[in-house]
Amino acid sequence: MEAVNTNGDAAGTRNGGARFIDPQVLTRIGNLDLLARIVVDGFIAGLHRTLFLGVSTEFAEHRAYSPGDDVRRIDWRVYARTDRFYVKTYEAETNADLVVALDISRSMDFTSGGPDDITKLDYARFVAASLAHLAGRQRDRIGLTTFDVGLVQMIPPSGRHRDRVLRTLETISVGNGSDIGKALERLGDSLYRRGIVVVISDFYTPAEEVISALDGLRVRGHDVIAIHILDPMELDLKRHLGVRSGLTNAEALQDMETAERMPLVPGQQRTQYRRLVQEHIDTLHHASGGRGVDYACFDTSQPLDHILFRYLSERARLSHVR
Amino acid sequence: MGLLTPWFLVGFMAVSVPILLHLVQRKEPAGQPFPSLMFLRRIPVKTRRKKTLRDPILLILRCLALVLLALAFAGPYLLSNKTVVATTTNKVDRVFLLDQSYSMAYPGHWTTAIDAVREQIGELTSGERAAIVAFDNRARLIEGFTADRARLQTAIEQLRPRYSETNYAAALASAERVLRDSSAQRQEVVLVSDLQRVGLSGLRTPRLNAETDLRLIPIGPAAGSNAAVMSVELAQGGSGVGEARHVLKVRARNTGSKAAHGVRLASTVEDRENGSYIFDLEAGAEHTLQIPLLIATDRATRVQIQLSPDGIAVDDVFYLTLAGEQPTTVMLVGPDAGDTHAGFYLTQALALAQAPEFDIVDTAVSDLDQEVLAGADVVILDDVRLPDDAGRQSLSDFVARGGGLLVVAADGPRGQWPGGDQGFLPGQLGQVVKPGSGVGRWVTAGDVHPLLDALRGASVEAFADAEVYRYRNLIATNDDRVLAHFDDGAPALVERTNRSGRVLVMTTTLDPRWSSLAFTSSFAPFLIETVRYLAYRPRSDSHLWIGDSLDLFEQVAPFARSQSVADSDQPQSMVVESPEGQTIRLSRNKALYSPQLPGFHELHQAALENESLPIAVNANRAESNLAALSAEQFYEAIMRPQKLDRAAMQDSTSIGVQANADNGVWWIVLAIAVLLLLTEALLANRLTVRATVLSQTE
Repeated sequence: MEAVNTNGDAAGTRNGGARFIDPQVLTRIGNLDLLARIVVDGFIAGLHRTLFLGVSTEFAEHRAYSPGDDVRRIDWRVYARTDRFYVKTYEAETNADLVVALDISRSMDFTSGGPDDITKLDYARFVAASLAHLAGRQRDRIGLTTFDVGLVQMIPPSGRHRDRVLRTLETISVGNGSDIGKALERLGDSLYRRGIVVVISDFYTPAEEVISALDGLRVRGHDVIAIHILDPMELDLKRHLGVRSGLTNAEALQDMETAERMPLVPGQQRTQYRRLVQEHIDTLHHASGGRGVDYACFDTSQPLDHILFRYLSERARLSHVR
Repeated sequence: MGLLTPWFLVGFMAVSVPILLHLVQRKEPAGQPFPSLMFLRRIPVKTRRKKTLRDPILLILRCLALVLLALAFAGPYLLSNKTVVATTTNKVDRVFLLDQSYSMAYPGHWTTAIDAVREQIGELTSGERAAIVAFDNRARLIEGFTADRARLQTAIEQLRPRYSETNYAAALASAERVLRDSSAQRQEVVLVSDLQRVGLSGLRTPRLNAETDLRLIPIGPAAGSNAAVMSVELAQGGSGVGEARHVLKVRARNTGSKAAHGVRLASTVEDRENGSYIFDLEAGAEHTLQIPLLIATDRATRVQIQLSPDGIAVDDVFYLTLAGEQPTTVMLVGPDAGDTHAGFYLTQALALAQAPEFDIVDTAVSDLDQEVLAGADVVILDDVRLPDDAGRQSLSDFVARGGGLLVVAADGPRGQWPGGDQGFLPGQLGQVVKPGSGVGRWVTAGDVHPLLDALRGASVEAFADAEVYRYRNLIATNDDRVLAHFDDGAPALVERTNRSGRVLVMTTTLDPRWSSLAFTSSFAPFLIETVRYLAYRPRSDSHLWIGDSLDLFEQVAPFARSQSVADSDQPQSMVVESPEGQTIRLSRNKALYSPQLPGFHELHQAALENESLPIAVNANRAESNLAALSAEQFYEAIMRPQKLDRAAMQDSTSIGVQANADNGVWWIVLAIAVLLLLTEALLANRLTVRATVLSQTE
């Protein structure tokens, strides 16, 4: 059995660090805050440069002193030359808003493993917690929104909401069906500052509707990261179905959201199914890229650092823009 | 094996239900949860169902359970010889109660009843015995318990409807007596009857032991008409020279359920038709006719009222004898000349008598002798002194010859009372008594007595209204019979029978001095009936009902007295000839005759001088009322409501067969069926049921 210590090292990690912790191992960490710290610290420790962390020391511009400014920030050299008070401004002072939009629809409660195995929702919670932790380290404002057919919970972005977000993620429960278009539209209406919106979902909606919803956020000025989470079985029926159920021939599948049933003959349908799923992913990928939405698809067996890396990349891009 | 309710086997058809369900119904396989069928839905899938029986073991269990349930409700019972041989005691003792009343003579009823009993006898199995009891108003054991079916069949073949009315109480009591000797595991009474309502009208409530099963086989109902002569009464009469005119009031009723049209009623006098009438009778309707007759006065005349035949034949005829119009001579003995006599009320009451009238002869007590008394039928000593010795002897001889004597022993009698054990008068006369409360009341004895019978109804009850202010105490002996007494227990009317003659003593006055009896409505009827009783004169319109008893020597006594034949010289036997020609010889000591056939019974004796005295006998008309009880009403009437459910299960309009609940086979079958159902439930839970889905992609 693998063991996890509080220093962030976990047995079973690859490449000698905590960077690539198996998500299945993370499920054994009961504390989401600790889990996020382990993931993020391991992730940061593995980076080769600290580019992303030095932004707070970079000079941006001078501006005239105004009452209320910290007198310690007055640039005395400029005062000496011009006899006027100017204060220095830095990149680090321009914090970003990070809002995680988490799909909690019933389909997210799926795992192709056993009852103790990680579900898509667990995986999404880990991702959201890690992002919240990482954002906290970056002094970004963090917010959280859960949605199914509409918005369920919403924590507005704030520099002091990290713990609240983590607590909410710990107590999150599965909702009903899903209507991503309606949910993201309402989310866009409720965000007043531009920021980074990370949408975590299984995107069981026609690709056009998904893109339309994501584009709605983008046109409001947000940087949108779409994280598509799937169980491995959802990508490949054959590999998981027979092993789990012990059936070799026919099976009836029941839609977790609509309770609809239909027979399945994996041998006959698998190829077409994989093709359709892949088409869906490709459509989302290409359409997102065309609209400036960062899209990535993960299955629940993949480590979380890829997602974190994408977040930081987006943040860096946002910082440079400013 | 037999089945008590085989129609329950229709339940076998229920087997088709599980077969159909196993073929048609497909249990949806438990679907594996999957996040979304969005993509799978786009993949065309073609399925078809395999039309084969699924889960054959479950199917067999279910079908078998249904079959056994149907079989259990059909009431199986074992008839195998092996079972019977193994039984040491009889399983069933059955008493067939066969209604033999004359309503069973309604067309078709008797044949149906006999067929039903014959069928029941034919179904007797080994270990079952039966007895046959036939009943009308009395029950008769025709055949005791036997398993010999041939013997039972022979016994019922000889039975015919009789002429009496139905009495269920007697029938059920007889069945219980018969079953008292039975040691069978089950005792059963099978009542084969038309279930007439009148059968419950007896004094006793019909009952049956709660342990005994009662099964009804209703016969009928009577669907046609049944016109019956319900009664014939003498409406009025009058005498002429050698002949008398009478008017008969005849009541005819249709007791059937359909109208009777063109009913012909004919009256016959001594085999000569007197006249006929034709009328219609609706169902339940009644028609009254008045028929004038002219009859001879010197003998009893046979009158027959005949309806055209329909329904029950017995009630189509009514037999009647009209007595000759010979007046009864009543000798009213008053006080000696010069004494006051208050016989006014007595005289007036006796003058009211008709058919026949009374010839009243007044005489003084001092004039009584053999010669004076020779022409009298009845002598009344109306509160006068007692005659002297010669007169007493003459009275004693008069009574010994069959004469009647009424002694009003109030204030008048003086001298030696010829009573006690040796005298011809009853008891010993005592002192005059004034009732303690000042006013006494009459109380008639509840015994059966011809005189009291004649006064039944309002007349007797009116006695209670009569007040008594004084009476003379009389101490009755064992030979005397007290017919009425006062409310303080003292005798009021005492009788002593001296061989042929009758003597009555009244201990208060007939006039209003000591009693108000003369002012009551009972007074005249009482006196007239008393004189008729003392004179042995029956009513003119005379007939008996079947079941009544009659002392035939009393019928002959007036003839003997008219011929002045001494009591000791009268014949000691007589012969009665029934309407079917059978003769019965009766001795003087056993002269009570109870006729069982309707018609004219002829009485022959030497005193009748080669002529016979007819006695008219009719069947009780209550039996003509064909209103029937339902099986439920019958069970309620005999206090067996717990049997109602069983009765309801039978088809009461037909010859029913009752379920044999005591046979243990049905519940064994039921238990097996329940066991199978439990096994099926367990098995069904364990079996994994899956539908086979065959798909074919396009």
